[in-house]
Amino acid sequence: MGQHTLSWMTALLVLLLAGAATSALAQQYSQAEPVELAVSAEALDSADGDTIRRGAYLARAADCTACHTASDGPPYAGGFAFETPFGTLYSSNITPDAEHGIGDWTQAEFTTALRQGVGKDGKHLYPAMPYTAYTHLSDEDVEALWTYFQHVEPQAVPNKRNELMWPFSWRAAMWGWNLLFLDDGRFEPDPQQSDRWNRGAYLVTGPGHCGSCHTPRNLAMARKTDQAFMGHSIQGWHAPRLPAGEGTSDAPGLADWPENEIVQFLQTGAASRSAATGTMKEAIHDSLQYLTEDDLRAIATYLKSLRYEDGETVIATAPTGDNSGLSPSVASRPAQSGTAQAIRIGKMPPPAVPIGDGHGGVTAGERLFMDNCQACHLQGQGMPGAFPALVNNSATAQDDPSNLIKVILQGAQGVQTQQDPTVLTMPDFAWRLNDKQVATLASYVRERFGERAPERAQVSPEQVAELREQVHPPEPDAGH
Amino acid sequence: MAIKKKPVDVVCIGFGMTSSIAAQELTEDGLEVVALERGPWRNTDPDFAYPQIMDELKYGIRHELQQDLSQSTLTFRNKRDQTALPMRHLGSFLLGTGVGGAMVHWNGQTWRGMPDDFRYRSWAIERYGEDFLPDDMTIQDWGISYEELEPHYLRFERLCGISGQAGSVNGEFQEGGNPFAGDRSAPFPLPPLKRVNATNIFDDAAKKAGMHPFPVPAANASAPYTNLYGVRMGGCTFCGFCERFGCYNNSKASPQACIHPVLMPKPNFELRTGCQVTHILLADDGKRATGVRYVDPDGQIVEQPADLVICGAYAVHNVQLLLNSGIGEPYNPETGSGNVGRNYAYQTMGSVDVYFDDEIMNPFVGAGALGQAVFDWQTAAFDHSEHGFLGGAYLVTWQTGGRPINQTRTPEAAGKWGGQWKQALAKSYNSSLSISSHGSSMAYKDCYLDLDPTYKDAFGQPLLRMTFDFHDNDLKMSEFTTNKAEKIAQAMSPTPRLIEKNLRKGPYDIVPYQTTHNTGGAIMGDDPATSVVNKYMQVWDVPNLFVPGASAFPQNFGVNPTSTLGALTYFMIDGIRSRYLDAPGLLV
Repeated sequence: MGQHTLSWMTALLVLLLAGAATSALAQQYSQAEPVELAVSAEALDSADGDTIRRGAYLARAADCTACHTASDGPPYAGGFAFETPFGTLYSSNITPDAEHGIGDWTQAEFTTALRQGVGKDGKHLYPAMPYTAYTHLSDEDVEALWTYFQHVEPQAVPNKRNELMWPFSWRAAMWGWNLLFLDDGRFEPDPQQSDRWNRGAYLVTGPGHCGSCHTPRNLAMARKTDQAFMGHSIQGWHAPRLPAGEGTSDAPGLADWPENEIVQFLQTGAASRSAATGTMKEAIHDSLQYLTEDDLRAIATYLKSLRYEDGETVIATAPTGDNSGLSPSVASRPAQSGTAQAIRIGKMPPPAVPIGDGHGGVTAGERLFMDNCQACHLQGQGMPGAFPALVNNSATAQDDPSNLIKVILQGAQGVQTQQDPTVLTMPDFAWRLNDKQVATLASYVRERFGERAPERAQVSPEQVAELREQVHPPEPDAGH
Repeated sequence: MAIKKKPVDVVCIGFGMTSSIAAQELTEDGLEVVALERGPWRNTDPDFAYPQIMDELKYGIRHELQQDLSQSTLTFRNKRDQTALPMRHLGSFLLGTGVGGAMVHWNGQTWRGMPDDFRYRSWAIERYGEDFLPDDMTIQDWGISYEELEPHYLRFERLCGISGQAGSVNGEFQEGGNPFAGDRSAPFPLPPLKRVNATNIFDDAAKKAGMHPFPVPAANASAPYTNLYGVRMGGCTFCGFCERFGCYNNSKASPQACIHPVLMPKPNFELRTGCQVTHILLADDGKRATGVRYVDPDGQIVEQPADLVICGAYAVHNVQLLLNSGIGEPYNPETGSGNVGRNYAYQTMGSVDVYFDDEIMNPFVGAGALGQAVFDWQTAAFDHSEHGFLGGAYLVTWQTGGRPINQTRTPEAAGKWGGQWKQALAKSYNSSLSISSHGSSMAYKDCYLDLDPTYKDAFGQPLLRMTFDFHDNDLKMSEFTTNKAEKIAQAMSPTPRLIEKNLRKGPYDIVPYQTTHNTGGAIMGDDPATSVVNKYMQVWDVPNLFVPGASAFPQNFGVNPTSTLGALTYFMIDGIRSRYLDAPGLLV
């Protein structure tokens, strides 16, 4: 595989991974689905019932459902489209239908597909299917998944042909990629660590395939294992770094997050210092909300132990602390000027005054923040339980301003989950603020709440313009 | 030929607060529930999104969220010898439509009635004798006690995330609360809203005048709140756009903010919007409702059979539906027979405007129920014997917002336009406040609702006809309480430069806004001879038909009705879930 092909392949895979971000959350109030999706009551009552339940749970933990179900299609019948500029890739039917699904597969063939990315007929799968993570799955869990998928309702839905242009249509290229980058092997528990930590590590690196988004990739789109979970940007969204420690150029990591808050975030997409955006919303909606609290606590235990030291991701030796909340001094940053006083005495500069020239002692960024953000986010502390804090928030703290800019442009909508049915919404500002205003606002927020030196907080109007092209907010109603 | 739908367990008419509570609760029992809403689907996002919702012209003046009077309205007259004419513009009250109903555009002032309000006729006669009541006054007891309602008030408050300072909790008085309020079994879910200059000035002055001020219970969440259904609400940001607007922040209680996130995903619940119910259908014997007939968005006539019918539209619409469906006996003011349409009541409002020289009020920092009030002159709080009237009012200084069109005040002498008016407006905008006297409205023989003989709505149904005027009793009450408000104004510090009193005068005028607190017409009681529904909101004549709402109030007390109609709805639900479902039939 020549260098040319490799870089094109890289580009394709960027898009493949990003494609997973667009599942159907459009419906504001979706009906909750059972964990044991698409299995009959008889099957659950059978001798295999417990194994089927376990498999169903793992299918949620591994998020098989989201990618193998087309919007409005039957569960696991495939046909979910990954749109790319090089064509469209479709997920496959994994129901036990003999003709179109995996009804004529053997358990061994299923296992090979899951762990090595090679299908029944020796066809290579594209690594949009996260087999480099699923290779960690234990034999027992693979068997449970196999048993579950043997019992889901068969769907006679033909697989759609991928519509990829050459050379991306050439599956055999993946043979070389796998040779280089697939580290085939089961999860090895660390005897030095607790059972809970090991359970968390297994879930995160195996079925959860968290590294698919959170681990930076090399030029060939393979995950940089020494940089595990150090954060990665795809298509305008940044999956923040999770390990704490040196290299503070990105989000501060999870070591200081209270365990309860991590659990709450994974269950509901909302915590006092963060709200899920981008692909994380789908991960929570389709997968994480179904995990037991024990498993989510295990995940939190593992994630809180991650450190970045001497240029690589390691596991902390000392137990991690539990910062039970934001300290008031950090949480509430006073405004930089006499704004509060200006409001109190009713002497704010009139809106006609061009912003940014220090009228009334109010900077342009501060003015924009007051007019657009402060009502809900207050002085950066937010309203726990409703509106996220901006201090210590991954969107304000990380180097890559993409998430912050995108949230300002297109707003954000919470995730509806079983534990938290409420969908709180932040409005979009793309129609209201121009590129320069968004850049000024984002720079201000990064400096004030992300604790960055002014020069490292700067966001340029060009960065905003680039992301603006990616978002298509609804046109404001002509009547407004 | 009507389209006939598959029968369901429950059909709810309208999809405002009462129907939303009923649907949320009854689906918990596994019942299949369908709600029919004449207006559109509305949700916080995108319909109330910031900042588009803060458009006073669109929502405040042109009533974007309210009933389209070209489709349906009501006719009005003051006296029985007049010819009623259709109300062609919204004025005195704002009828809601669409998902969430009137609770989308309310302010959030969430009062409980006083314990004696629920036995007001008995209370008045015990204290002042039968002769104290004017001959034509038809007030009656509610057939339910405050004690029975108390747990349900609390439930409604825990649904809405009410911010307030309790008065008496389990018999112990709490400093800063309302000393005249009924005993509570628990404090309010949230602490009171932060105060502003105007409410502080009121508080000081009321104390100086010997009264007992306290913060108004508000359905504007003073902090983020997770309600009894696990739905999260945001903390109020004091944007000043409550009344006439939807809340962009999920801070003001509404069906959208408090119930729909848990209700809408349920597989045994279905909402159909754009469906105008025209009739509640009865079995041949007239003793059982068989479902409803409605006009769907395509103009087709549809029948939805159901075992249980919840008529949860707005008060006046409930009455119109009962009358058009031939349920119960229409009230006859001539003979006094019949109950449907009887005892329509309203609210009697007065005010005192207070102008200062240099105070800074920042009126734009507001919330719909941000206010400081006194209950000293409330319906059952003082001795009426030497005053010659029944009823009462709370006195309050609100800071609900500072919108330029609806929410400014200028002294009378400044006129209503021109340079002098502009100067006066510029001066008074930030340096004035107002005290409202929010007063009761007793029931009278000649204040009632019936069907208009002439006018019909777009669906061919006769319009409701409202016959209503203020009576001397209520005007006297309002004058008395407004004079008390003036006393508070005179005690204010700094000394006002001008105090202007606006006494309520008759006849009732349907044009200027007063309140959207229309009550009665399907009133409750413990005797089928004098009421339409029992205390479970159950129609005496048709036990599988329930009519929750302010239509059940026998007369209107001195407070806003929402919390009471919410509590009555929860009381109804309790009766249905604990007894009716097992043994359908009259609960009383």
